[in-house]
Amino acid sequence: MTPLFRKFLGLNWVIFANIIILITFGVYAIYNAADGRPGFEKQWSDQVIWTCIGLVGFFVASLIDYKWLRFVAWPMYIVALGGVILVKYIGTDNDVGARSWIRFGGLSIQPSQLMILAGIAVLAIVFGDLQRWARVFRSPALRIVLGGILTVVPMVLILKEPDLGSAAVWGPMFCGMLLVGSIPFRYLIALVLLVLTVLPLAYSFGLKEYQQNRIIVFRKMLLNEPLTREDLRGDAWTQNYLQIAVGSGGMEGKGPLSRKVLNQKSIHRTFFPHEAINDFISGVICEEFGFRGMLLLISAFSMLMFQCIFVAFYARDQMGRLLVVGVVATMMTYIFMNIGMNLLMVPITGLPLPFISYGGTFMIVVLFMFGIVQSVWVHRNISPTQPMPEDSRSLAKEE
Amino acid sequence: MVVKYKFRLYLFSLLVLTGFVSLVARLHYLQIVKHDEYVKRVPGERKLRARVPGVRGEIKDRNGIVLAANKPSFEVRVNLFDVVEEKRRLERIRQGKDFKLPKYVYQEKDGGFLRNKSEIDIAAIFDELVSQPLKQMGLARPDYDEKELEKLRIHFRTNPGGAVPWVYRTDLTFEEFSRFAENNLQLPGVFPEVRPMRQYLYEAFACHILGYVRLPDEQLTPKEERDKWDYFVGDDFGVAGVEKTLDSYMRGVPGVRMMLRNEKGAYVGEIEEEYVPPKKGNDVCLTIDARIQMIAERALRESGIGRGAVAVIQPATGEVLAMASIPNYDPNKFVPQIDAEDWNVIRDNEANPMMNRAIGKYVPGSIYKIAISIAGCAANKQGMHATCTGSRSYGGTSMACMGTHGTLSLTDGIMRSCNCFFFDYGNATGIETYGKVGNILGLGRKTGIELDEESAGNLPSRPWMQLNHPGENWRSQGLMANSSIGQGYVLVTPLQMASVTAIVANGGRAYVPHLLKRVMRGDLLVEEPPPRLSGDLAAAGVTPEKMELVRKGMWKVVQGDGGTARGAAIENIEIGGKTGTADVLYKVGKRTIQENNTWFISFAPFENPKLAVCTLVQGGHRGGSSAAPVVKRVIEQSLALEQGYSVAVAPAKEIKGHFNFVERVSFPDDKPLLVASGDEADTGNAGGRANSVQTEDRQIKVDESMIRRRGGTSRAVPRARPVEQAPPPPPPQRPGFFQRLFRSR
Repeated sequence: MTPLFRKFLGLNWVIFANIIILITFGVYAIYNAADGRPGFEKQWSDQVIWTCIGLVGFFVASLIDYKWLRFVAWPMYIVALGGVILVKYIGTDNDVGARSWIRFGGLSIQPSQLMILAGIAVLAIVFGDLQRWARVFRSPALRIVLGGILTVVPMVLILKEPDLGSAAVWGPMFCGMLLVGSIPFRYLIALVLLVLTVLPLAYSFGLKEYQQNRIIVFRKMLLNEPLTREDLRGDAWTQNYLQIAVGSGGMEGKGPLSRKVLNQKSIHRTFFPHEAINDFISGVICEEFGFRGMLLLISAFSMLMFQCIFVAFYARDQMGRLLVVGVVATMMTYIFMNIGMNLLMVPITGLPLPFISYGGTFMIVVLFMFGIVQSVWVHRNISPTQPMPEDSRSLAKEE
Repeated sequence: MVVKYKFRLYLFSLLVLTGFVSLVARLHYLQIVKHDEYVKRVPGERKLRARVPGVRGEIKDRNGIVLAANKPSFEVRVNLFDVVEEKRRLERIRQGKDFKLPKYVYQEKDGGFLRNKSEIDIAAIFDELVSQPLKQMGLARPDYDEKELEKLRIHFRTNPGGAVPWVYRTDLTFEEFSRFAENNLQLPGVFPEVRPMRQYLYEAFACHILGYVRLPDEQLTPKEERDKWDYFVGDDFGVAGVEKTLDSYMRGVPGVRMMLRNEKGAYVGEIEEEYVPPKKGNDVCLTIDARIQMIAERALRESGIGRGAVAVIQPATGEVLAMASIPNYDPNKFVPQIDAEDWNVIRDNEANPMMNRAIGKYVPGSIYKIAISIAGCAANKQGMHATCTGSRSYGGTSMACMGTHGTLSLTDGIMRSCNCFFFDYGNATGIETYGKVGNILGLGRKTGIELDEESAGNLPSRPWMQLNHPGENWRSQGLMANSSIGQGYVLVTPLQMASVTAIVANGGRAYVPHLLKRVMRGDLLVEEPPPRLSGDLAAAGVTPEKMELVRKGMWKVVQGDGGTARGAAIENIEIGGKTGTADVLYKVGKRTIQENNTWFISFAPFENPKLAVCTLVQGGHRGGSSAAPVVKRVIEQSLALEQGYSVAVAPAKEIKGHFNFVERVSFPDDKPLLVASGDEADTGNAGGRANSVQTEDRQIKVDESMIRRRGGTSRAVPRARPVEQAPPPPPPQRPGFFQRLFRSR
């Protein structure tokens, strides 16, 4: 048995199975959501192709030791940052008017998604590895500042695209890293207080009036307050139908392809814009598969997340652990924002649901991230219960 | 540095768990707790209450001949609000949340400045969602040009709620209509519709009496009424003639049509079971006798008169048997909307075909002497004699008579139409009695006929003088003398004079001239208003014996030796009559023309009169030669109806009218009038005072040199200027109406 094959057999097959189940369901959901929309007939099979490409990346990332990220991460970060800056100049406008895509021939790449991948790697190095290279970085303040800069720069650039959703992912990811990245609590508390102080100012001065109005409408919908006619026609139009779609789904839903409804006239088929196969996919799932279907989906996601956290416990070193935490925090943000937005818990930002939503680059990036998680698992310590020596490099070399 | 990662990871797990739990909690709240509420909010097929306009009642003549009926009109109406909503929906799907609708910038006066304003480009949306699909079906209007789009924009701007549909076209054939009804299911907001459309069966016939209707103006409907319906189509309503005044009788009861709209807002069908058909309004029978009306209109038409009017009243009741006025128009042109070209023709016609001359005010001239005669009777001056010396002088101004008639009694004064006699007679009567009796006769006030266009005329009584000419001496003998011969300030309508004639004919009972005979619902009589007396001259001191003197005078005018209208005498039938000629100036466009109003009033037969007729011929020569033949013909033929003479009521074409001088009226199928008018003593331009050239409504400066003199009596200036009555109001108030009015078919 070659070491490579041993590694392969040593993959966390539970996580893999979980992912495959989610993707399968996702393809089915895309098929459902795209049904009855002219021009969307092939999306589900496209998604299968993207998955296959993504799985190659997944296995490659799984089988290579993540320690090489130390050297790859920085160039990757710079390239991705360059992409994000470049997108301003050579990017193509999407249909909402945001510039977030770069086209290479027939291929469209969203640099902000590559950016988040590079960001996770770089932050994992900053919080988990850098202090072993230079003592200076043992100071939590310095690490926070460095990590903060590395976070805020791409975040602002993405925010300017404007891609509010992708920018919002950076926050929880950074926080998750801070939490696990052995930053003392006093720093964390201070940071939280600082954010809480800045927030009202940012709301009043940072946001334009129409953006504020959206938040007001969002608050109304969250608290089930009555909406005005103008709201319903303007800011709350989509939200209103989302709410009705989800609410009318009930326990059992309207069935796949909305077969239980007369003439298949479900809300999403009539009123949802074409984001039904990506941003609003969980709304479609809620309507067609009902409470029980969505509960199953959320359970699958939570199983996946906790499996990953389980991996984090086994991680060989702090960097691996932070990599997993970064991936989990990012994925969790996507999941929470997407489902939450369909349930009107969070403002509508347009984040896809991992493994479910239609989207090529995103599928590849997400699978690659979980490949890194697998890599952390494959290159783990034998026993998670035995405390590690501080310098774990010697142990790692045993393999 | 020892990393206490386990606790941190547990904390992190807890956060992740919290996230999932809150998602499930919210999901549970929406899908289980609030499930029923959201099921109710699922947009589904919605019922729309559409108002089906009631069918307007018909207008008939006294014998049941239908004058105005309804025919089905196949129309396409578009609810612009629905179209815009559909566009919104499509764009939201196409562009996402921050969709933009096409905008259109227009200029509007705001506070005196032209400002650019922006609105939804309804024309572009309309073209995309309505015109193009219809074009594919071959049902689009061929002439939808920029002008039409501008009208659409204005309609959209002025009807923001969308309850008032835009009338896309009204000229579908039945085949097109049925094709439409099958195909339109995909077009939200577009409705095919069958509507009863007013039709005036005899075209220009009796147009001034009937008036016309116009498309519903929803601005006039109260908002509460409109809000009761999802789709409001108002009733046509009358804007002129009896269509206006008897509108409330003829309005139908609206029906209800329940329409189904699917969740996208597209019209999908109708609930047949819930259809409530509209009810027809009541039919209205007019007092008009279509045959006599036909006779009167034919008489005017065949006489070659440019402008004129005939009013025929039944003396025993005050019922108006006929009322004709030329030039006239075809009211069908106004239904549903008048073409720009047609309107321009009507508007630019200086003869003003829209005007009902039978109720317009004019200088009466000598026919007014009949009214003065009655007033004198009331003052007990019927036995008076006066000597005509050819002229009278009042305050240094000489007022002429057309001859020197010697000493005359009242009847001879009427017969010879002697000005001098009436100067004295009028002054003997006094302005107080004149005012009182004039009021009973219906002069100087609206008679109360069911036509809003009616003029009041002028009765220069003491209160009127004090009110309108406070500076003038109402006690002046010259004033009363002027009034006595129908000059000065006096203005009357032909209908008023027909009414006065009817009062003379029936011995002194003043009935309100009216047009409404009865209101019918099918065969059921709803209402039959009895003749209404507006006054009784006997109570004012005019006994039938005194009235007989006036009647005798009128008899002499036609049958008497030396009467002014012997040419109007009819074989075997004795009639009473009186001629009148008034030389007037009046303004047409920018020029002022001078012409004669020639009049003839008459009642027939002399005993037990059945008809009282008044004719006005504008631009005639003498009452006896221009107006009397028309009246003669009307009376002759109308009375012959009872002897079996028959008149076919047939559609009549429009008469354009003209300003030519009508010296003598004769009818091609009649023998020419043998009695020349040269020996008539009838005069128009009797004296006035030189100090005043004022008119009451319009200021027209009259220069001495402008006035063409006749018969050498060149001293007097006519006092009164007839002022053409303002045309009945077709093009009014609301901005945007013109655009709708000028819609080309």
